[in-house]
Amino acid sequence: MKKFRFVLVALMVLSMVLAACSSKKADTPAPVAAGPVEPTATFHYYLTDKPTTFDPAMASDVSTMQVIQNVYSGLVMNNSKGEVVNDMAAKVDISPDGKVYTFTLKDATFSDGSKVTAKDYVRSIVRAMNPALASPVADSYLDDIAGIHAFLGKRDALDKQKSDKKITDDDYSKQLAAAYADMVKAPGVEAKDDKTVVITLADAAAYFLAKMTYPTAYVVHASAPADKPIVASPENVKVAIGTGPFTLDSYVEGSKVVLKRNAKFYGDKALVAIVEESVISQDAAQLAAYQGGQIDMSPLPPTDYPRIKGDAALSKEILEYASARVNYFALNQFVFEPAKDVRVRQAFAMAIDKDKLNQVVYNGTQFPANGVLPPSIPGSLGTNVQALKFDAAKAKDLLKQAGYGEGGKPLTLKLTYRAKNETIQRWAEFLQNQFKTNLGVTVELDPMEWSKLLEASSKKNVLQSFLLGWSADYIDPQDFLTILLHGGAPYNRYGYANKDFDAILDKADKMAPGAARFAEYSKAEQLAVTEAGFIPTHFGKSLFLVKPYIKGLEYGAMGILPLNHLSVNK
Amino acid sequence: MAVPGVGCSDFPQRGDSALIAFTLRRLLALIPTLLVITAITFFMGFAAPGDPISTVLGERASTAQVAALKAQYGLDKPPLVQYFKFLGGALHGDFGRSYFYAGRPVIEMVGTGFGTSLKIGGVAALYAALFGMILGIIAAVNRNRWPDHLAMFFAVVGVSIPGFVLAIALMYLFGVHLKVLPTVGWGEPKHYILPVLVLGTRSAAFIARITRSAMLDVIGQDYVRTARAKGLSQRVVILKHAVKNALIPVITVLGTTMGSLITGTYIIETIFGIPGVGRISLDGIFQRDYQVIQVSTMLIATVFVLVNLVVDMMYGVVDPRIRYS
Repeated sequence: MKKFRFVLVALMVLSMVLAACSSKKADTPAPVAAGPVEPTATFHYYLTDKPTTFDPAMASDVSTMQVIQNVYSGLVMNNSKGEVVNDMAAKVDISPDGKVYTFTLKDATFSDGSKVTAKDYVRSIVRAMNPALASPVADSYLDDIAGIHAFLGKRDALDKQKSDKKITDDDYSKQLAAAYADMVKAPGVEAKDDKTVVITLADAAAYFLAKMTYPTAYVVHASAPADKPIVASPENVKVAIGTGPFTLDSYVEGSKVVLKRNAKFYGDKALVAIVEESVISQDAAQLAAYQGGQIDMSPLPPTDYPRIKGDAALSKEILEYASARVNYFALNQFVFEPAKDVRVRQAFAMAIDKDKLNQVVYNGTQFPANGVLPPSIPGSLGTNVQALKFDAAKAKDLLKQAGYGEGGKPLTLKLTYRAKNETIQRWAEFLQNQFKTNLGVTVELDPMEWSKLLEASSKKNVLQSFLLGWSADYIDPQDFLTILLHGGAPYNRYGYANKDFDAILDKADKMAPGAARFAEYSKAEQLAVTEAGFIPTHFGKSLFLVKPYIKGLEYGAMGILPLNHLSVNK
Repeated sequence: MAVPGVGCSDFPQRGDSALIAFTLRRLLALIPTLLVITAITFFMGFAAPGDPISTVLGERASTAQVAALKAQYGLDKPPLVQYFKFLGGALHGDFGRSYFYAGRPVIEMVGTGFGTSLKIGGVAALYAALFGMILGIIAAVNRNRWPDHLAMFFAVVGVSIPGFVLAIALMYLFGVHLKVLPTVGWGEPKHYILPVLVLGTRSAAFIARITRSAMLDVIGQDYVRTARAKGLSQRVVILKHAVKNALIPVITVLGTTMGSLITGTYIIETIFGIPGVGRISLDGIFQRDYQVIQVSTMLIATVFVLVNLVVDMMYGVVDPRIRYS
């Protein structure tokens, strides 16, 4: 009996861990049929986060885009230089008034073999706007299209009525559905014939094609539900049918995405058979996986940069790449009264030693920012910008002229930034120190929870000053200058207002694409820099380690790696 | 009813009704517990600064977009209304959809993660229990001799090293230098080894110490001396008479560690890229993904209640004198 009880205890312990030994075999990809020219290699890549969705209409973060952009595709795309080039479109015609875009399609099929027609594009773009999908990105990218523009106007009016309690929830839903139904009838996107997509804009917008490179304009298969997103789940790898160079082969939720070469792809077919993307969030784990040979490419954290740089073998594997991101210090004129004086803003701008910031805080892994536009954005002045160079004496003098600092009114400032991030904390402390030493301004540090900071900064009238950044939504100067600094822009959270500046942008935003248009943005950039509309501190640079046997790697300007041009030459 | 200690069939019958009543009572108590827990987490979620929509939109969150998405998700309604909507859905088996993961049903997300954590935590618990007990027994039997010192050295080190330090150390040793084990990935048996070692070592060390002192206590008791006096071998005395009676404190420790092992640990799961519920729930908090926070908290609470129930039942198995009244 005693033995029995003992066995029972053991069984109970076992029963608590019942599932322990029943681990499923990993979904190892089936080997690709070895034809004479079919590639067989596997590229082992990483994702920093698990994909948030398998639906191009919903994609908003880098890890998700990395999957989406290789599985789906659209009319146009960015090449590695950031230029907009044709993708599934064989030809794009723009009407003289810049309002009508006519796309002629190449012969293309979905990965299930069905033909892509112009109607698929109409359905996909209309679907992305469906309120039931609640896409966080669709309105930003598709709002220039005539029917969608009108729909968004109605939707915003309804939202306002709802928040003012002038409309019941039921009426809100009904009217929103009606507005959407109207839009579906005349979206501004039409299929002229099987091969021709015509898009009419509400107003000329030269950056429109750049916006069309984003997945919200990608084509989805007719089987994609019209009112439900394709969620990122293991079952949905078969539902996520795209037209890209790869197909989704399997997904171990939160752990690994396996992509398989799409032999039916209309463009440059992939040079590898399989891409395995392992989800690895932690810096040290990414490096360990790279050094252990489990992944062929890894991000290189700035903290490890000096060590790796000093390593004879590993330093040869470093890949540096300028990302389209600007990080800035914003003096909020809505709240911090002295910032309305241009001299005060200039004084703050000139009090920052940006080279030292880059060395001290980032180990030299970023680019000191003298302009507003990251160097990879066309129109960027880059090194030609007439910068407000670091000059402590001049800065102090400017502040004095404005009546603050020594001999004037003492100045104190509250600086708000993202909490619980060591690098951002050091960025803030560095500025605090610079403003104290170079301007005599006392800065109170105010770390704030990320989502609260986002809310507070978007309300405009809350924060005195803050640290944030902006990454390109699409490769066009409009996405930085108009979106961030135009007097009427929703993202102008610091109150920069200059009618001349706005006039340049209003004109440039509607000009025909080309060099003359970019020159206008360069003018605007210089103005924003001189007037210190907001104060950029550094542009982003991405650092990676890449195994020497990986060839043909060309990073997209948006930080997404196109997987169909690289090869594994082991 | 059979007399305790005679015949193998006594346990299931002895105190049957008391045990069933006890179990039912505890299971019924789960309902108010869960209600209170959902209410607390729900309103705490709302009290926390920020909201899921701002987190999804990130730096490009404009007030118009936030308003539109909030309306779409019903996040513009008063918290109380939202809470009852959640409860109503939960009663019908609909636990809502994730904001951050674009409409993914929360129950599927959390359920998958829980399955993963259960597997890895279960193996870790088994490793901790077996290894810890064996170590503790060896130490007690060889009191003050070198095996004891060695075992207790391990125990002290095991309790003192933080999990993430051990994780990185093992990762570099086995993954980078020896290249014999994977440091990331999930699904194959080899993926268990390092995380299980990291997860279970601290508990193993703790259990080793507890077992040792419990064993020393038992070994000094009269009935063990009697067993020896009867001429039983050392093996029989230790394994048959002493170990079983030293189990009570060990089970108590197992109960408390087991709950936390199988509900996942954020740091270990993040380092080894294990898609477990610990990571899902903490990410849910950072992302203000209210439904995810709700469901994972409910699940973790349920697991703790059930584990404690099983532990209480095990007491009775190990020590028949314990009654469920």
